[in-house]
Amino acid sequence: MAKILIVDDSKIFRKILRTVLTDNGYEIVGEAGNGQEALEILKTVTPDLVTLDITMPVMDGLEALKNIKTSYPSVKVVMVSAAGQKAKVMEALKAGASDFIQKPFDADAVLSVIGKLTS
Amino acid sequence: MFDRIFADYLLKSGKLSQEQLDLVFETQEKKRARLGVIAVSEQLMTVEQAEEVNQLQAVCDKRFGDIAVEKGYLTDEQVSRLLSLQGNLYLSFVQSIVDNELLSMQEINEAQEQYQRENSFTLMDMENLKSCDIDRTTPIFLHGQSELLTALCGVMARTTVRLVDYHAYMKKPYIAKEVPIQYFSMQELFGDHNIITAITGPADAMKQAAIGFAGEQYISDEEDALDAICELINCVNGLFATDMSLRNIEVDMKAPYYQAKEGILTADSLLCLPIIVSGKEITLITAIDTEYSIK
Repeated sequence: MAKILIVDDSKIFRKILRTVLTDNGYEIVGEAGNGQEALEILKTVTPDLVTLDITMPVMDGLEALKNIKTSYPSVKVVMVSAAGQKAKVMEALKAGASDFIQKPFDADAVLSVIGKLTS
Repeated sequence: MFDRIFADYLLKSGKLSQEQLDLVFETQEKKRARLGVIAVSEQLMTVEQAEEVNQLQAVCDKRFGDIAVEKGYLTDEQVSRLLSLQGNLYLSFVQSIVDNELLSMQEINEAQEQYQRENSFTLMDMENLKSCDIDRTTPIFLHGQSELLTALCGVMARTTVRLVDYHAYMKKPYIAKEVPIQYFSMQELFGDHNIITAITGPADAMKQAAIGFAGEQYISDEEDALDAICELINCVNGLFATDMSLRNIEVDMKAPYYQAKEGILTADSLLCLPIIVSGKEITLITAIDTEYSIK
């Protein structure tokens, strides 16, 4: 099953996403609270897919996305946005994100998006 | 929402006890069905369509009926019919009081008139409150406040009812320059306006709200609760930013943050709106285009 890195500054959101994904057979290879932490983790593990929150302290999702797509072009990235971030989602899709999910998310929608990208 | 506001009034004025109100709520709950359930039982929508609309409600600031119409599942006329079948929440509350023989209609009417006088509400205000429509209720409580903050409080009220506690209700707001904070989650919006959105309250109230939003299995300590409230604020601000963009006002969100220690939030004008969630009070604090500090 696919290996996933979860990047979000909300511990609760990471916990919820981890539960949904592991319950459905995905392997969580790491969790990061911001883009910089994610880049550190990526030096040691190579996931198939990264879920990347847009709004984070230290290094936000858009900056992290650009770094990931430059250094690890084969890693797929799914952006996680709140409502009202359409422009940033569009920018992320142009910068190489594969898809996006919106908070508060529905588990079926998450599994559908990630399932399509990792099958 | 007004059913719970008026229940609070009946409790505080000594007309009903908490035990009696619990009985009323139980009777009321048994008799009331959700709009989606009625739509399915009336064979106007499939279960899948109702679930889809419920899911969409979680990510957009719209009512069940409005989304169902947009998706082409229901017509406006069908929504009106379903709403009349569902019945008014306040009326079902009053009916439950009478059915349980706790107060007579005469006593309820007198209490209602007393409530109206004490709050200086007009007849139109009362009609709007009794409609139990959040969009008609929020402006009454926030009369005279900044238009944008009223809109933000409206989104918070709708989202709280939808995602945290179906029976959440608000109390009268107040303006303050200093607000003592306890457990505290906050997010700043920036762009055409600088806005702060914060929620504070005692640990048990914040935890209750967090459980309502994220689910009990995910909230094990105070930090989890504050983190979940940050996510709730993030959702509200996202929906608010979408509403604002339709008015050509652009605002973006900074990362939310929280703190679990006592302090004082200070600004020129803080709009504070107490919200009762699962029987416990939290306070929404908002401010627009003002410097603030936390000590």
